[in-house]
Amino acid sequence: MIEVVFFMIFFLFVFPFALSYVLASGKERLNIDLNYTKNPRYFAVSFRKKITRALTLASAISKDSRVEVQLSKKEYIKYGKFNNLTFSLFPNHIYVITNRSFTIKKGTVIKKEIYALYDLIIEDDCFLRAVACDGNCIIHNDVIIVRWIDAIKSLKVGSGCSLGVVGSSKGNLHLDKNNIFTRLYGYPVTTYGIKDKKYDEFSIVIEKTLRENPVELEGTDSKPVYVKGDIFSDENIKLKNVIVEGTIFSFKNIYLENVVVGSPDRKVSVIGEKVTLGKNVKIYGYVQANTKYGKIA
Amino acid sequence: MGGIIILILKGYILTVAGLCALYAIRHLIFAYDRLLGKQRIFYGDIIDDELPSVSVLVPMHNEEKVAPNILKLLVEADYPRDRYEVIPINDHSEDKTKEIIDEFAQKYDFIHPLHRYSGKRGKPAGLNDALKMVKGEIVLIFDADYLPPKGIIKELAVNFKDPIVGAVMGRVIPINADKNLLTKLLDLERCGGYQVDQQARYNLNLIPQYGGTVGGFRKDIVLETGGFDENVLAEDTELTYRMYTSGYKVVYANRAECWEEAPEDWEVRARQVKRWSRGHNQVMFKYFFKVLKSKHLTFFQKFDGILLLMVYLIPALLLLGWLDLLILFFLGDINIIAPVFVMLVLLLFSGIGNFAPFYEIATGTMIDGLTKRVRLLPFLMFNFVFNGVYITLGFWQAFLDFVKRNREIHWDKTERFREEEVVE
Repeated sequence: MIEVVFFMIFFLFVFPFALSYVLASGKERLNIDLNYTKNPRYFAVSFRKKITRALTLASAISKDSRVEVQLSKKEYIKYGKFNNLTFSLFPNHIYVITNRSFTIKKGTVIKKEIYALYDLIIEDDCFLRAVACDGNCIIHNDVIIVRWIDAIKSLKVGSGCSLGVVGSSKGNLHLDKNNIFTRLYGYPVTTYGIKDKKYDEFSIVIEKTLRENPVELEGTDSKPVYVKGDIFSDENIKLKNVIVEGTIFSFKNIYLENVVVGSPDRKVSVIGEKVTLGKNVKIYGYVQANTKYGKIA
Repeated sequence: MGGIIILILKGYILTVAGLCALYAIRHLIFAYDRLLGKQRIFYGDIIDDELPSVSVLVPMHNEEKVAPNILKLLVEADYPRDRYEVIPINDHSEDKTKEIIDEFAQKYDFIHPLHRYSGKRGKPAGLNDALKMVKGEIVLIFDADYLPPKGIIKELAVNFKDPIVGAVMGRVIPINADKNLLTKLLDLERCGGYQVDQQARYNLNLIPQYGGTVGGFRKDIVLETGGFDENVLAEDTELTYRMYTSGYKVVYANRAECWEEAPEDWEVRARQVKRWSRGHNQVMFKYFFKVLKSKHLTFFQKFDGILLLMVYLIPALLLLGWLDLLILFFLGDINIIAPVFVMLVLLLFSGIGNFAPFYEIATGTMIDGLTKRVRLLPFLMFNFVFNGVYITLGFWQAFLDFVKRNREIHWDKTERFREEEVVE
């Protein structure tokens, strides 16, 4: 009896190890892309590359102008000129729109990506997954983007919109009131009530990087505060009538109103747990808030 | 008299069990933080055209197998060339390392080699010599077997835009994870250690650790505080505590990922663990009271800092604990409660002790999305016993270093296994 018990104990001890070794055999290694460099427009750039490659590789676009593309899974591209897009048209296709200027009508729902090769207008109340536009893109009010939207020339966003994970443009990204975002990139990103004003006098000039907890700076409309370096804080950052040459970074909340960050010669960032942009804000570069905590007040 | 000794022996068991429980709770909190807690934002997200000047140091001793790979990758790094230099430190190499470095230096004017064939050997001594010729404000270090991706220099350097950041540490991933059982187990340890432990310490504003490679520091702070201590084997841990006790913080950058070559041989691993233990415990003796007295650290940072300092002490205490139990057994004074303690100590340490953080590894593999390898978790018990023995040996060496202050330290380089170039 005791021999059986000992055998059982021995077997119970060895068995899990032998089993785990067999089950874990094979190759599994965390991959690193040695060529990776950070790009705030990464989703859109990568998407365009894949679509363009698929279209180039397709020896001839088939009769119904359908091309296959490998994104995270196999997808189909519907390529050509369209009169209108509706949900019922080709619900499982990525649209590549070749019209010189195209309008997505009010209330359209499209659950796949859209790629407009020229200008694009998105009317009120649309619900779209992801949009790439090689021209100028205008979004009207109350539009919901689930993943990302990117326009090469410019992106103008009306009020009450949700821009998903990334809203970006190589050119100007202009935002009206009551929008929600996670990440923005534009050169520059501007908000409603924008004034291009030059200043000769400043109420205070801070010569270097500011590192305080919290940071609250307020200049006047005619004499703003001028910060020549970056601003970092573990607490909230609140700026009104301020010009900042460098990056603004807070582990908590950031509020900006009548503020210029960066310059045409220097790309910078505004990053915080929550980021609220008020009127007349101009940021040359990148804005990031934690998911759903970015808004245009 | 006998009664007092038995009381002391029993008290010791209780203390060790208590410490084990403390580490287990710590790991549980870290795993919970990574699964359900709020993740702290990264400096690495910053995009800014104005970046600090950077010098990348690559310590090398007989590195002909790996030197061409790392130099090729550093040449391709995405960083403004007017703010970038690479300093390969050839430390008494007897193979073709010198020729390889010189060939690169002839082609690229931002590569400034340092050939050392006299003076003290070892990484801290090499770094001290290199610091004298460094031009950048920020010094980044990569060991020669590492494969830094194109964007990693920017990803690490951008952390230093915040003036209170003194050092930064990236994430290490073994490139040879699939090679054998040892490399698979090391891959699991790295996964739990970086993806969960380091990241949670960053999230909770505790003490993320600078690991001496895939990371860097501000040159001025290190020079002002006397450079690297050449008698300390864990110059990275020493720098971590120096930063914190001087009022700076260390940042962990989880997305700054870099491949390394993990040891493929148990003997090589044993020497590595012994060296780490000796170095880490040297730092413990040096900083234990400094951490407690520091005005720059919060209560929780001090608490975590002390636990981190004691990480390589605990296995030695545990082995003594087992001996303690044997003595109690042979003295016939092991009553019904004692076996419970034996089990408690064994379970806590084998399963969830300070070097077998099962929760963390399981959580890490889940976050990474690689779940097949987690099936090797039971093997970490063997690994723990293996590590425990060599950590204890390292601890006693550190203890002797502490007692005999001017003891000579010899740097024991980790052997490389790479057989072919992995970068084209």
